[in-house]
Amino acid sequence: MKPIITAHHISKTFKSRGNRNLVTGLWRPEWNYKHAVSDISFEIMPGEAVAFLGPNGAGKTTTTKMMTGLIAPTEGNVTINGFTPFDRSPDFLRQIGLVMGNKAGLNWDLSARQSFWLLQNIYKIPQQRFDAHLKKLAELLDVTAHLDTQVRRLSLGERMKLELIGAIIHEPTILFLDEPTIGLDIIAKKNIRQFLRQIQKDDSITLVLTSHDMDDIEQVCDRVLVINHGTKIYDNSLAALNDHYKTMRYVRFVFDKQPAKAALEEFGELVTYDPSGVLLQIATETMIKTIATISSRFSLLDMRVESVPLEEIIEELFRTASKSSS
Amino acid sequence: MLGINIVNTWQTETAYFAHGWGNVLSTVAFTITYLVFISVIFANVHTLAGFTRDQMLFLLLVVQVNFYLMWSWAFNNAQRLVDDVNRGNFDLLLTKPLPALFYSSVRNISLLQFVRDGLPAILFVIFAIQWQHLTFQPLAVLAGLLLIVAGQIATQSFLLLFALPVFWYGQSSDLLNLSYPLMDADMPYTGIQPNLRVVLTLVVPALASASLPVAVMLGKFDMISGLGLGFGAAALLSVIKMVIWKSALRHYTSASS
Repeated sequence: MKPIITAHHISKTFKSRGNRNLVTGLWRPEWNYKHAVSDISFEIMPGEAVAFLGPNGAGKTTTTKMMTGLIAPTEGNVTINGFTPFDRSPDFLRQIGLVMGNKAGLNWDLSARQSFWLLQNIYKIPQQRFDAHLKKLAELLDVTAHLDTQVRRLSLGERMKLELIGAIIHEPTILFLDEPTIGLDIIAKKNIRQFLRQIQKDDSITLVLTSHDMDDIEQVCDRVLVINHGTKIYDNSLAALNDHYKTMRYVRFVFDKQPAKAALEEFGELVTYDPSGVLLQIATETMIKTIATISSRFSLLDMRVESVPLEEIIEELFRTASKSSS
Repeated sequence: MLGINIVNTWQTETAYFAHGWGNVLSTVAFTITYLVFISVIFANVHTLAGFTRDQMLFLLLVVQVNFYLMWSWAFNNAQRLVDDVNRGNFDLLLTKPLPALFYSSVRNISLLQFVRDGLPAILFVIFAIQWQHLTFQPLAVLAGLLLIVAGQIATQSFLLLFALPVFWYGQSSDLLNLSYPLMDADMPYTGIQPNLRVVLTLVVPALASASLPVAVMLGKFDMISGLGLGFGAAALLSVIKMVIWKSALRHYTSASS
């Protein structure tokens, strides 16, 4: 199978005016250059669900914008299904959908159905197909009752679900999502994640997601591409990332009488220490022995073993990458 | 697409109760003041730059029609383009299979705004003109109407040039406001020095959409030269607009998310 998205050594440098003075800025603009993305390469296969992960300013959104044809790479090239995105060929644009968590695609003053009617005409979707697809999507996301409500009167969660419908009403083969669950409550987030997983499986849509929310990534994606300071520092499956960190475990202890910090630090790294309990990071191979020692020395009320959370793993990745680059 | 945009704009404008009626009062007040001003002037002089009172009012009529037409599509769309590029919402338009320049120019065609805000004021002028004092040749009227269309195209192109710096600098609302004088330049064409007249038609098309068509319709300016100037302005400014638009898209960086 051929990759649906290929990025070959792409870089993006933004040029901005340093001197904003109306007069002196004319002959002494003092340009600033920001390297948002530096020499990133990757391939995405059809039907994959890939997450782009990184801190603010890491280059995730810039990479997404290069893939959607909004901006051109300064160096390197991106190919999507044989198209160069920045050419913005209508045939290419018909194949992609874009959801931006903090940007509104639906007209605020109209109902979603009225905005969808415009989309139907932009994508030239036959009436019957449009009606059937809209009905299916609205039922899946439980927003049928809101289709005729003015968008500004909807909750953020309802609006986001309708934005999502607007982005896939034309049945794209690739869906780009930039922070799709930003600001949503737990239930709305869960619904959207389940929906994305379902359309990816049922309709074989390729999902490219950028998010700060680890749960989005864990529940929607199979593969994660970690970017920091514009460079790729990890590209593999989520399972492989978790496996890599299987050498460590978090163990939560609740003591009858909590020992002093110093008494616990010899057993492993103290992650949290508060009156409700203690969280220790312990090496997997010595974990049983360590737990036995702790329980023989102190009176325990409760104990729980947890995997290292994905947040910690990613943080560790960033730390390792920063150390190696410096 | 044009039809859908008109309907969508209509739906947007009628989504709120009693929205926009303040503009009607404002434009009617402006027109009455202007009519009084013209009456006072022509009580003391017979002609102004070769135009009689009724010819001057006819010029005002065409200026007003052009102004509301320009306002209802060109200005609204240019303003929306500036806002969308500034806030990054333009991303969502660029990822649709649409001719972006054409779509950005016709996204909001506000017929309601034209009828509601423009028509009452225009009716005042229509009733103020003593039509029996004006003579028209059918061919000149046809040429004048064509020139109004060419003038609209030229003015819209020029107006968009004021909006496009937003792609480089992130904001250009202030620059766009400079285009107001273009939309209501009610100066008799023949009263302007010939070289300046050419500049104000071809380069800065302040006279292209009303003054020139009126001069041609009233037989005060040669029809062929008028058509050449009007359509020349439309073609020249459209080409410049397209070249700068392409460059603008290359410079588009989108807003941060």
